[in-house]
Amino acid sequence: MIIYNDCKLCEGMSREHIDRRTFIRTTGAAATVATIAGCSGGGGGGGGGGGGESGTSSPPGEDVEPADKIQYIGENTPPTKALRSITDRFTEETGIEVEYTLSPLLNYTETLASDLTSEAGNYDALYVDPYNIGAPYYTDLEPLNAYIEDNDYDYEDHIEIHRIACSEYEGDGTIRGLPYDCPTILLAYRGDVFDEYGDQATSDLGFEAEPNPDMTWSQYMQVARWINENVPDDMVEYGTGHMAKQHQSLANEFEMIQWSFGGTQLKGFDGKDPILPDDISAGFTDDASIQAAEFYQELVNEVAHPGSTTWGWAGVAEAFAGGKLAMAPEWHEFNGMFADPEASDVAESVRWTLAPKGPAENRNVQSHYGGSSIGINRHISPEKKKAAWMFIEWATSEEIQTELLKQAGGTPTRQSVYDRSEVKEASEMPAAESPMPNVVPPILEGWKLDNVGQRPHHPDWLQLEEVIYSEGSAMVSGDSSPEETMQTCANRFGNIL
Amino acid sequence: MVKHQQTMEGSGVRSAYVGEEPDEAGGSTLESVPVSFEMLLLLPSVIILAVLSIIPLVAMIYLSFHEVNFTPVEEQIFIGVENYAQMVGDGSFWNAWKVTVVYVGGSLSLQLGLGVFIAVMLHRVTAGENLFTSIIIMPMMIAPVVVGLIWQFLLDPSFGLYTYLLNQVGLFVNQPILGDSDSAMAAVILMDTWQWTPLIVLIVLARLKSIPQHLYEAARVDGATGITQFRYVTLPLLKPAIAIALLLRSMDLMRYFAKVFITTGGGPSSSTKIIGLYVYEQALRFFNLGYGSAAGLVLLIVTILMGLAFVEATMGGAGDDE
Repeated sequence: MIIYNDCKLCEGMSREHIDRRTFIRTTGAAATVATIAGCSGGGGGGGGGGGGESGTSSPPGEDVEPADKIQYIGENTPPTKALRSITDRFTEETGIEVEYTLSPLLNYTETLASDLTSEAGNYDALYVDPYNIGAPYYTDLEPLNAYIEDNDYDYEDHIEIHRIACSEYEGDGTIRGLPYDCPTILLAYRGDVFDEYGDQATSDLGFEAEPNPDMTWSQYMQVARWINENVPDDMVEYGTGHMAKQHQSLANEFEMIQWSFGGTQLKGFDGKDPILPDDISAGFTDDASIQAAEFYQELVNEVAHPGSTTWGWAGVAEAFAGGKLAMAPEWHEFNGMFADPEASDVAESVRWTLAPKGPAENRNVQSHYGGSSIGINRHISPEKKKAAWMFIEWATSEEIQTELLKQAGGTPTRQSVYDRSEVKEASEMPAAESPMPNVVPPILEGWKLDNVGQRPHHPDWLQLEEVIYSEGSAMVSGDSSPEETMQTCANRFGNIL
Repeated sequence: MVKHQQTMEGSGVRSAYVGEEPDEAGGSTLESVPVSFEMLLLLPSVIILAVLSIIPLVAMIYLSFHEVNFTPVEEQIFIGVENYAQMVGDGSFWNAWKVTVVYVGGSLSLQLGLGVFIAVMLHRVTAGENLFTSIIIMPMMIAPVVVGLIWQFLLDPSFGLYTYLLNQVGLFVNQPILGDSDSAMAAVILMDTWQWTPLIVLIVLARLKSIPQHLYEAARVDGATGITQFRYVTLPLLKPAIAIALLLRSMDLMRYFAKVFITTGGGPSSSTKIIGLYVYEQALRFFNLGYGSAAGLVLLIVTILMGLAFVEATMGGAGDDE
C-alpha cells in the first residue's frame, strides 16, 4: 500500500501535477500524522480523577451475581500459560469464563498501567508485578482484606516473604494481591565440572571450590577465574556468565551484589524491608556500593563469558543450558529448562545453591526476590469483582499451585505445597529426575528473610532501575569507572526523586 | 469557465447568447454547495484524520506543559515550559539525539547508496527481473520485531552464525558484536539496511522505468558514456524518487525502534538508545507523560524539519509556482 502511494506520488511529481509547495505541505502533514502515530499512540490523556487511596473494601454482597465472563491480564510465563490450559475446570465449577491477555513483561506492564490509570476497567483479574504495577498503582487495586476474611481464605499459608514483598504496599496491612508465583535469583552450577575438577580447584585455591552457601563473592570470582584457566574448553568455556545487558536483568543482578556488599540504592533502605521511609534520598556513593561496583565490573569485564554484556536472564539461561558456563546467578524458574534434556546439555549435571555471600557484616543477601501476586482491578463492577475474586482465590489455592508446579514449572508461594510429601521427595532428587524441577533449588532457604534481598516499593522504581542498568551498562562496557558510575546513579536518582 | 466568461464580458459580447440566458444560480443542488464534489468525497477522510492525529497532537502539546502524576493520586500540574527547560539539561536526552544522528545518518547513507545501486542493476537485468525483485524485497515483508530476533540469534556470541563466521577470520573473538558500543551501532544500522534497502530499490526502480529511453538515445548520440548518462540523465530524474525515499526512511528511522529494543535495549552504555526509544521509555514505560510529550514534540518538529530539508535539498527549486 505504501509502495503504491509512493509510486503514485513519484508519478505525479514527474508530471509536475503537484507543485513543490503543495508537496512540502502534504509531506509535512504526513510527517505530522506519522510521528504522532509513532510517538503519542497510547499515551492518552491524564486519566480520570483519582483512584482513591482508601485501604478499605467491601466485597460485593451475597445478592450480587458474579459476572459470567472476566478478563485476565498477565505476563506470558509458563505457569500462567499452564493456568490458562486448566482454566476450563474453573469455568466448569463456576460457570465463569476467563479470557487471557498474555504478553512479555514490559508490554503487559504498559497495557495494564494504561488501563489502571485511565480507570477503563478493561481487565478484571490482574497479574501484579510488585515493582512495575504494585508499587506505582496499588491504589487502583482492590483491597482484599475483607474478601479474605469473608471467604476464610488461608492467606497466612503463603510464605512470609511473599506477603511482605508482593501483597502489601502501604505498611498498614492492606492486602492488594494474593501471592501467585516467585522466581528468585540463586546460583546454578555444573556439578560435572566440580566433580571432575573440584578437588584440584579446592587444593589450588585453599577453600571449598564447589559453590555452597558459605562461598563469598570474592571466592566466586576466584573459582570462575580458576575454571577459565584450568578447565578445558571442551568441558566448559567459562567459569561464569552474567545478565549484564542494558536491561532490567543487569539491575537485578547488581542490586543483589550491592546489598550483599552492604551498599544501597536509597539511603535508609537495606534490601530487606520494601516499605520506604518518607524522607528517602539517593544512595550509591557509600564505600560499600563503590566496592560492589568495582567487583561487578571486574567480574563481568575480566572473568565472565564475554557474551555477558549482551545477555539478559534468558541469554544466560541459554548459554548455561548450552554448557558454556560452569556457574551463573539465575532465576530459579529456569531449572525447568535446564533439567529438560531436549532443551539443555546440562540436564544431568545442573545443581543449585544460594548465591554467594558479600562482605557486609550487618546484613546477608544471597538471593533476589522476583515474585508477583494477582489482584482485582478496583475500577470494575461488583459483579466482575466477585467473579475476579473467585478466580484469583482458585488460581492461588494449594491444589492449583501444586498442579502448576507439576505441569509447567510453577513457583508456588504456599508453604502447604512444599510440605506435601510428593513435593518434598521431588525436591531431593537430581534435577533431571525430579518431576518438579523448580523445587530442586534450595528455594525455601533462599526465601528466608535472613537470606533474601528485595527491591523497594517505590512508585518510580521502574525509572530508577533504568538508571541502574543504563549506567551499569556503561560501567561494564568500560565507558565509566565504578566510582563515576555510582556518582552518576546518585545524581540521576536525586533528579528523579 | 469563469475565466472564459470574464473574457467575454471584457470584450463586450455578453449579449451573444442565443435564446434564453442561462440561469446563473442554475445547475444541480450539488453544484450550489460552496465546496467541490471532490472535497465532499475527501471530507470523511479529513474528519477521521483530524480525530486520529490532530486531537492527539493537541493533547500532546497540552501535556507537554504539565507535570502528570498518577501516584499516589492522579493530577496534572501546569508547569509552563519547565519540561522543555529540563530537557536542555538532560544528558540522556542529548545523548539520545547524538546516537540518533549517527543511526539515521549511517542508515540513510548506506540504504540510499545501496538502494540506488541495486535498482540501477536490476533495471539492467533483462531476464528474471521479477524473480530478483521478489527475492530482494523479502526482508521488507518481515515484522521489525522478528528481524530483531533473527539478528539477535545470528549475532549471539555463543551460537550466532554471523559471530561464528566472523570469529573464523579472527574478528570479535573475545568481544561480542552487540556488547561493544561501536559494533553494536554498526549492527543495528546493518539490520535496518538489510530490511529497508529494498523499499528504496522499489521506489527508485519505479522511477527508473518511467524515464523515457529517447533521453538516453539522445545522450548517446552526443557521445555520453554510461557513467555520464547516469550522472546527467538518470540521477537528475531520480531526484523526486530519492526525495520520497529519504523522507519515508528518515521518518521511520526517527520513530521506529523495535529492532534496537529487541537486540540491544539501547545499550551497551546507551550507545544505541535512539530518540524514539528514549521518548517511548519516558512516556509509556515510566509514564512521565508531560516530559515524554515534550520530548515527543521536539522529535516531531525535528522530523518535519528534516523532511522538508530533504525535499528542499533534493528537489531544489523544481516545481515552484511560476
